[in-house]
Amino acid sequence: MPEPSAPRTVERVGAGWLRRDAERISGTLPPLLAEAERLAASVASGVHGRRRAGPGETFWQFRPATPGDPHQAVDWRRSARSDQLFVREMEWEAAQTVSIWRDDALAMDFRSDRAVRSKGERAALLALALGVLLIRGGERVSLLGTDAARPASGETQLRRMGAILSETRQKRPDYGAPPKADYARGGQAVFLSDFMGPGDAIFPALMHAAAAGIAGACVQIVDRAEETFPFDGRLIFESMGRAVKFETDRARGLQGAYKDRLAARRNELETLARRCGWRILVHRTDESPRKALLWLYDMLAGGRR
Amino acid sequence: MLEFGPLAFLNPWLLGALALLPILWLLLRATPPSPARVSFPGVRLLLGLEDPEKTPHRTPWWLLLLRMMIAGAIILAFAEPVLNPREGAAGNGPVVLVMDGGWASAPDWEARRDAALAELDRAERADRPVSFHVLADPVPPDLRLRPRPAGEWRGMVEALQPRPWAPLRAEWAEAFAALRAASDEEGAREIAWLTDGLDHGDEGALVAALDGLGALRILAPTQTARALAQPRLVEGRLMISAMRAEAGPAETLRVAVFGKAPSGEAGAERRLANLDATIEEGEQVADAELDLPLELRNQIARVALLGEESAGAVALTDESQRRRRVGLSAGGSEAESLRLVSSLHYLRTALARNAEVVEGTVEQLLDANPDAVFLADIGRLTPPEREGLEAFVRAGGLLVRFAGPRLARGSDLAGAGPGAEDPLLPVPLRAGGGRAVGGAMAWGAPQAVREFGRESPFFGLTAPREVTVSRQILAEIGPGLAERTWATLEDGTPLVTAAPLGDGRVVLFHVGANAEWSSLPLSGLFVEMLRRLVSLGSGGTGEAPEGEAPMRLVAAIDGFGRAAAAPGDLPAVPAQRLADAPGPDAPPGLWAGETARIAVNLFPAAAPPALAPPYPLSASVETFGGRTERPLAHWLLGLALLLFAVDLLAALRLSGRRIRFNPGAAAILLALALAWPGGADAQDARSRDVIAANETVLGYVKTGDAALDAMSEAGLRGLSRVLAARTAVEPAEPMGVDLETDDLAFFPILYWPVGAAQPTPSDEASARLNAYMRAGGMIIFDTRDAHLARPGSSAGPNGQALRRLVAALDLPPLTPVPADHVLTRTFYLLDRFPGRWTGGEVWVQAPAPRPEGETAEGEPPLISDPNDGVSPVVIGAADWAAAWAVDQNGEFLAPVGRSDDYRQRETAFRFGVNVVMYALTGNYKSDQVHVPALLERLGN
Repeated sequence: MPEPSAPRTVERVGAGWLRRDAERISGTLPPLLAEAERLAASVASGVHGRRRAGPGETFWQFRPATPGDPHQAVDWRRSARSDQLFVREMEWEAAQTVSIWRDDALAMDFRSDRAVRSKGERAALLALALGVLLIRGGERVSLLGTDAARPASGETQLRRMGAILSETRQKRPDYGAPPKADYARGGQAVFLSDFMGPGDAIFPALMHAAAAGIAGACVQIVDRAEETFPFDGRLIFESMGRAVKFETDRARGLQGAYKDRLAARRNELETLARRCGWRILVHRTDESPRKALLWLYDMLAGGRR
Repeated sequence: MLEFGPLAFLNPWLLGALALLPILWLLLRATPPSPARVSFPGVRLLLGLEDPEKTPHRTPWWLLLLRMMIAGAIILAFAEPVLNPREGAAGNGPVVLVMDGGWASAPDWEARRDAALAELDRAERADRPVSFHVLADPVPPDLRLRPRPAGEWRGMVEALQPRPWAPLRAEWAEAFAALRAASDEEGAREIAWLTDGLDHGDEGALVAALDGLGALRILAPTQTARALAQPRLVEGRLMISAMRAEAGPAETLRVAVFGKAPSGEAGAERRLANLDATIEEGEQVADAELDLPLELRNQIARVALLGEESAGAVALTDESQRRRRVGLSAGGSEAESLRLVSSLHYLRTALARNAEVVEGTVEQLLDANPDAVFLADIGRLTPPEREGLEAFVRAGGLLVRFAGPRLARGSDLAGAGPGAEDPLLPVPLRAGGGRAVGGAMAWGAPQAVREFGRESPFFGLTAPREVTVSRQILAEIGPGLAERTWATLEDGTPLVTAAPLGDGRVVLFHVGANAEWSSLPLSGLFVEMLRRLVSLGSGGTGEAPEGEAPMRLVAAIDGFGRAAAAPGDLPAVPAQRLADAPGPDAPPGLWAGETARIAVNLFPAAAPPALAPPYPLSASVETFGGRTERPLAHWLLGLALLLFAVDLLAALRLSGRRIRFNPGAAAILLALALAWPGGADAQDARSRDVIAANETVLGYVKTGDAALDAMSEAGLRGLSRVLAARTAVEPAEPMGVDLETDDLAFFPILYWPVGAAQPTPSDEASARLNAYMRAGGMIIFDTRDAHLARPGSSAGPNGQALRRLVAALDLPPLTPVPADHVLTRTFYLLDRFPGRWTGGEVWVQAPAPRPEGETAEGEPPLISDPNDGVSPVVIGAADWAAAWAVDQNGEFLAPVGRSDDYRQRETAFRFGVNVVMYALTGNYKSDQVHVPALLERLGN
């Protein structure tokens, strides 16, 4: 098992210690950011409109004036061509706020024997790639529960996010739960976690977010071993922080029960999501991260298309 | 000491620890093997689940049992169990240890020595002094039991060797009996006698004497020694007899016949034949005929029972079984006749293969002391000649005469009346010459030879029809003619007649010795007849040495029947002493006097050894060998270790850890692989073969001695590197070869370091080694003991091991490397072949004997053997591998010579390069000597 405090991400991405150290010294993009940008570039590029009328600079539509429209809003040149009064509307291009929560609890450090990446690494990659996409699109992005919790846009925010995501916090808990933050109303939120923690910590936090009126998406990142439960024999299972223990004589006998419990947990998540109009994705670390990123991007950008 | 039947414990109080086993049981039951810990985030989902199978958190009973067995084995091991402990001592006084130590003790000498050492151990444990006597040694003038502490005898017992004669029981019996009378020590003596189970002419006197000396304990062997009688000629056949003392069940003994190597080197032997002699049930003697061509038979130097290493199982041969010397003489002058009509040509040719031929006048012949004299067509003998010949025949010689014109008209016939027989003719001859048949002027047809009668020495030979006689000399018809006739013609007239004269015999061929009178000398029948005649001449041993003539031992055998140096301080003994049984003053061996060499063997006649008479009831009799003390502690500890390994596996299995290549499992697998050697070998055997077949690989024979094998491998590695650096040969890494399993065909060279502990190759392995050598392989034997060899002796201590290892190999005759051997110039020019040690000869195959008539300084003989003139063996003692040995970093492993001589190591490497080149290129280099001649011829 990897040491909880080891910055594995950095080590894995770098081609070697030389390059890694050079980048550290020169203060360029953290490697995670570079990887995230590569990933993001493969998905989409460019600012996207909101496909709705609102404050903006781009023409959206003419609509017949209705009582209550201020007369300054009437486009007289268009209205002159007919008997009706038309109002010129612009496309709403105001930046949207997307809050990303990346679970950095110890449980996310789990990596089974055959997996390439830990769950936490995958979550950080997805978070940053999403950040790249959104910030390049002009949105405002925040990382919940970190120093970058204040929504902002621009390269600075991106760099700050990269720095936060690639370093490891001290004193992490065994299992994480989304913080009860002040969500920007009308914003969107993305939760990247394994959702393996105690339900009475996770669900109230999600309900709090839903109550703030934001649209959200949950990505449950799981390891292959967590789905297949390939254990046998006499074992003591421990949580990553050794806080929770469970001893069994024959682990294989528990496989069915474990899978049932996992399905029940997903079911709970989905029920919650359905109630709030959120969406759920189960992402396994042995799958391509692009798949999850595409899904997220599609959800955020095209959900209201 | 605590005893249970054949088992005893030296530390019995430790067995009390067995009582702790139940406590261990409880402890082990309470602590199950610890489960493995797995970090797993999904553990939270597992909380509250119930195990579907409830297993108690207890150690399984079988694991518990296993661990109890481990503990029990360790406790038992430390209690030092001993199998077959010696019983408690009888008495508390001194122990008198008596060993026979004669030839009959040699076959199981190791067991005897171990038994004697065990007796010493026992006496030491009981703190009793020991007095030690070897019965084969002469009785000291004033024999006293001078008991000394047992430890002081140990070195003597360990160095003791069996004597090649019978124990001097009668003398010792007298001495012991006298001792008993003069005994003034305190009683309670214990006598332990290691007997060989045979009667050596004392008829129980010794037993009685020993029994009177104290409490007698006799340690007898389970089987007495086998013996071999000296080969003897019986009616021209060489008979050998294998003998035993018991009249037990049928038993087949294998007899090997060794002869001198043709190279003529002293001590070099080669095996001529093997034969089996089966002693029938209830019999004591088995006779077997040694049916060998005369040429081989004459070379026999030694006959030995295989697998029975004692002086009694070896018989040396002497002149009495040797090649005959025959003299030829003819009437008339040799010079005046052509070669093919010479009277002696056919005789000479026919006899040359079977006997040593001397030619000359009759006087000269008699001076040469022949076994047989052949006279071709001599009609007239001078009176001195007649007297000499008559004395010769009467003394046992054989006189063979051939007819001819001179004999037919000889004055002997004319002078002799009908009543006065000529003693030098077997039958009176009819005067007036012979008769001619089948000639141009004769009526009859040439006569063929009738089949030989049963009483004729030629019986069994077939006479070809084309052998015809056209002229013969006729005998007077007389009453004795028929019984004196050995061969007749078809018409009944005698062809060969013979008559005894004194101890000898006179034979007359009624035809000439050349092809004028008959075609007999042209046929193979003639050769066969002469061969039989020559072997008949057994009386020709000539002069037995005078009774007082001094004889000296020139070749001795030791108690094991091996050739040994003759002791230098042995005085000459009169010849008549040699007729008696060998003893310390006249050990068996080859004795030489002024005129004759005599082989003295323990069993000159086929009289089997006798079993010792029954022992008195007062003596306790044990057999040694089967009942030596055997400590069992190390076996128990090994068992505990094995069980521990099993326990480790089981614990791993129980804790659910799959056994992959984690270090623990690898260690166990390694341990198991070491415990069952060969299991892992089989898998890579194929890939080994592929490598060996595709590359040039130097091989070494695995001796089973790990240090030796490692040195061999390092040595060949060093040599391979030198070869790759200096020559076109680029060998792969050397490989070890297991003679019993591996294929040898891939290796151009096998390096075989000889260690005393190496087991003798099985018959199949020997057969494959023989095939390997025949097919062009080369084996380098290295006895590695050049620094230990005594100056002047040809073999060091490992020489014995070498002889044992190669006993079944078909080795060619060997010779030390001649100065102009190809081995000295295949790559480097060398004049010596040092390894880690200097000195010691290097032996290779002796060159094929040159054909007759070729001069020595002519061209080297054309070698047409499949090995391309390459010696299949190189035998040396210089420990080359140690000189070549480098480790993986190229550092030399062993110092060379006295002061780690750089030059000597370099020369050793050069020798190695030369050997490999020699093996790979064959006689190419020896052909190179012709290059100047060829160039010169081309230039002209």
